[in-house]
Amino acid sequence: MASTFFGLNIARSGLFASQRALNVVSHNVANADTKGYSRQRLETTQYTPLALAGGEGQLGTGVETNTIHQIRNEFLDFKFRDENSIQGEWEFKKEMFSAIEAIFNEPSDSGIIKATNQFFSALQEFSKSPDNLTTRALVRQRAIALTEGMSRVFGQLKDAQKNIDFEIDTTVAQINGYAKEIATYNKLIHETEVDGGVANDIRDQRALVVDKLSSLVDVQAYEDTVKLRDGSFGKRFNVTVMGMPLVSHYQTNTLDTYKRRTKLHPDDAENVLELRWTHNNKKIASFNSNSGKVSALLDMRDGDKEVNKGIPYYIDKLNNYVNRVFGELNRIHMNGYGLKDALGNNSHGIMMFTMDGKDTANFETDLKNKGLTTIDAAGFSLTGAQEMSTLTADINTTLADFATASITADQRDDRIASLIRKEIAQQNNLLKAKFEKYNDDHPDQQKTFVPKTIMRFSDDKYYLVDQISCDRFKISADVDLDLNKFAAATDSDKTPGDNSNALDLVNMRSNQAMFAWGSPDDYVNSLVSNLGVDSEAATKVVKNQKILVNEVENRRQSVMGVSLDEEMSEMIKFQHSYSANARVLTAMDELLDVIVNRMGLVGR
Amino acid sequence: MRITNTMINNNLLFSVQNNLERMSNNMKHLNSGKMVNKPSDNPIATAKILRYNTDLSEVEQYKKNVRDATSNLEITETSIAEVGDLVQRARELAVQAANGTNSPEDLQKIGHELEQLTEHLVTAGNFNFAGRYIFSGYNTDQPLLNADGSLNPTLNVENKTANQVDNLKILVGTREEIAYSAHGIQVFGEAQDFDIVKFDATSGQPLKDAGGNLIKETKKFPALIGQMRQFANALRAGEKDSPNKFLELVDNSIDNLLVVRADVGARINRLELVNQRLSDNNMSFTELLSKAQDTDMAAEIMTFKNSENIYRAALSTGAKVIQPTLLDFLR
Repeated sequence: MASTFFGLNIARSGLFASQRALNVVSHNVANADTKGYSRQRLETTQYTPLALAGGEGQLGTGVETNTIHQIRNEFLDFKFRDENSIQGEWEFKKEMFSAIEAIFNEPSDSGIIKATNQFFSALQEFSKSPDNLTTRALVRQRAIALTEGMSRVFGQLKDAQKNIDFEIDTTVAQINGYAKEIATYNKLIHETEVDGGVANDIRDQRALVVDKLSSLVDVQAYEDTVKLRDGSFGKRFNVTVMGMPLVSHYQTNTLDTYKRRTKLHPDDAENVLELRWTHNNKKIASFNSNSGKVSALLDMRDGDKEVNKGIPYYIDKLNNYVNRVFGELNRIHMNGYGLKDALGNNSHGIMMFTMDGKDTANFETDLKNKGLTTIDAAGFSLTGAQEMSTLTADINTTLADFATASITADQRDDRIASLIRKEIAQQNNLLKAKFEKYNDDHPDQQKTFVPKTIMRFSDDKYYLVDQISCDRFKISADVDLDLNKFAAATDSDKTPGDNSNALDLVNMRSNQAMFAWGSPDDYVNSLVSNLGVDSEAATKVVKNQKILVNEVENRRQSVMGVSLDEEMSEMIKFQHSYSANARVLTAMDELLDVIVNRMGLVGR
Repeated sequence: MRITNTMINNNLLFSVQNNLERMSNNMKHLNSGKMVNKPSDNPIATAKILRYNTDLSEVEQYKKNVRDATSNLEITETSIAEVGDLVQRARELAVQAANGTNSPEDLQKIGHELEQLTEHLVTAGNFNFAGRYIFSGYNTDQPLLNADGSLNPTLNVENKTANQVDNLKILVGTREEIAYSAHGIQVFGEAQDFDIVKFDATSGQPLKDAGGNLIKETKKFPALIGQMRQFANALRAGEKDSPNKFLELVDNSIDNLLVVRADVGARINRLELVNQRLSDNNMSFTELLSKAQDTDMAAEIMTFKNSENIYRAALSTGAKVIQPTLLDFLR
């Protein structure tokens, strides 16, 4: 027979269990809106029952509270972080593409297309009255506006690159901060859980930090069980980035920045930051990440290929455009003659645009002396510009054909443009092979090959030269100081009315063979609409990714989120349970009352 | 699926955000009147818009060019007409002079009038419009003729035929050039040597050599002016056979004038056609540009209203779903 107070004890265990469960409900309700909180449940089991003698079975002894555990699905956490990483990457790319769109500012009345239109209009006016200084001044003004427009776009692109670099620095600091935070939580959790408990709330906070981290880099987080020094087993939490440990239990590796010494791209900002993994200030590995904001930052800062379009890609395209178009304008302009001066002499062989606005003679000397970087077995060297004698000969043949009127002016221009394009492609293949050989021979100092795109005409010969940054193109000192030097005439004797060279300058605009993308106008149009396509694509990815992240987050919330209705019904359940236990206790109390106060009173 | 409060909140926020974004796009289209404000709004339309804008700016420029060329050609035509009238008058005088009944004084007077006509012709040949000599080809800063009507040597056209001289050219379309001037050599004929009787500057009498023959000097003149000058001087000097000689020659020049005038007229006509075409181009480019770029207000307002309805629906269902909880029904 059980003890008299046995029933009291059962009721008491029920009371305590209900009360504890109500506390858990209360905690859930209180944290219903806490970010990263996962709902908790109290787990209860029956006490070990009392075996009754004589095969009567077992008598229950009440309820026991075991653990308060959290309801959370780790798979969904992984899924969330994967998608969040991709979203973090494209959010930034989208933002950057919008910024580049804003820099190009097309279609508008103030972009470079408008400046180009106005420049060519000025050339047309110039062709109508080449004898008029007003139209010459107009050409000068519009040419300056065009070069300024180009440098503005170029400068803003470079600024954008610098800003990205700055953002890399702050993002890296953020990543390291999160890593430290995770390590601190690891310690706290480990210490709390030494006695076998589960640190639900701290785990939630740690998971939240990993979630935040996942938008910056491509992270993998996992917990493994290891044997501790005292022989017991403990859990260790690790965070890795592309297999490289960022946090390992109490330890962290640091993502470190250092200055890049050799520019990847000639127009890159000075001393941009490279990333590497360090531990105690010692380099352990180089950094890479497939997704996350950092990878977007690096892509946008350094991307110069069709598959990975970043700022350098657009700078390159712009440089290519300006070098080719200004080069061609120069070539035509050098064929012409300016107005006669007081002595009856007229200028010839004058460039319209030069580097830094030098005069033609100085610029040509520069070109020939400085030349371009080439590569040979010994390494990199700066040689004089390479003369393309075959090209010069081919073009001279074309010009001769034109002179004997066997081809039209259109055919001449097309043929020259495609000859130049072909030669550039050929030279690039040769150079690229040399670079590849160099990189194979020197695995420790890889060099990036930047294709040459410029054939410059000087001294009646063609030279392959390095591209000139488009912000350095200014109107040449010759024409800037003397409007008479704008060359409208192709015949020195026919000034001032001869406008055939001015017409050639205007016609250059419709030279379809100039670029693989067509005429100069087509080139800019294609560039801008391709930018639009990329920006639109980024916007779409972000939109889709948002839906995806929202979906995963909803699935996660479906599991770990607090439902107030559910908590209320739980609350009522435990409230009733508490009351019922109290009622049982009262019943037991009454039993005792009967025993103590009223039993055995018969006959008194 | 278990639905939690956070999920409802998230979903509500997500859809409200989406709707707001859609409405903000509608608003941008309505406010700016443009469907494409940046390339990513519609990359294909952007390419078109940029193309049409460039085309339009070119067409505008070509229209300006046509206007300038037309006015230049009209001035040229007027001048040629004036020259035609002068030559016609000279021809009448020559016919009159060829009449045997004229006294030497009459012939003198006719000679003087011819002299004046020639002077006038020189003025016409050196006509200067907006600072440019219209008959001097590329040498717009040089008069065609010297004061006596002989060819200005700096023009370098003494040995050029009418086909070899240069005329000012203008672009009226992509690589479509049109000449918008007539060269003096074309109007007045190619340069020839003419023997001109010399006159004494003070007495106004023809100079004679010891044998009593008239002294003549040989100069390069454009045919028509040379003929006039030669005839006028000869008549004043009293050369009897000069009217017939002049009449023989001048008819060719008159024919030539008519041909040049017809050519100029034809070019004006062509420019009118070009202008018509450019106006058509302008209109169609503007229309295409508008189609690619401008907001269809009616359609946009419809979609805006639609977005607004969805937005309202999202808000009102959201408000209704969020509000009640079990709490509302607990005592």
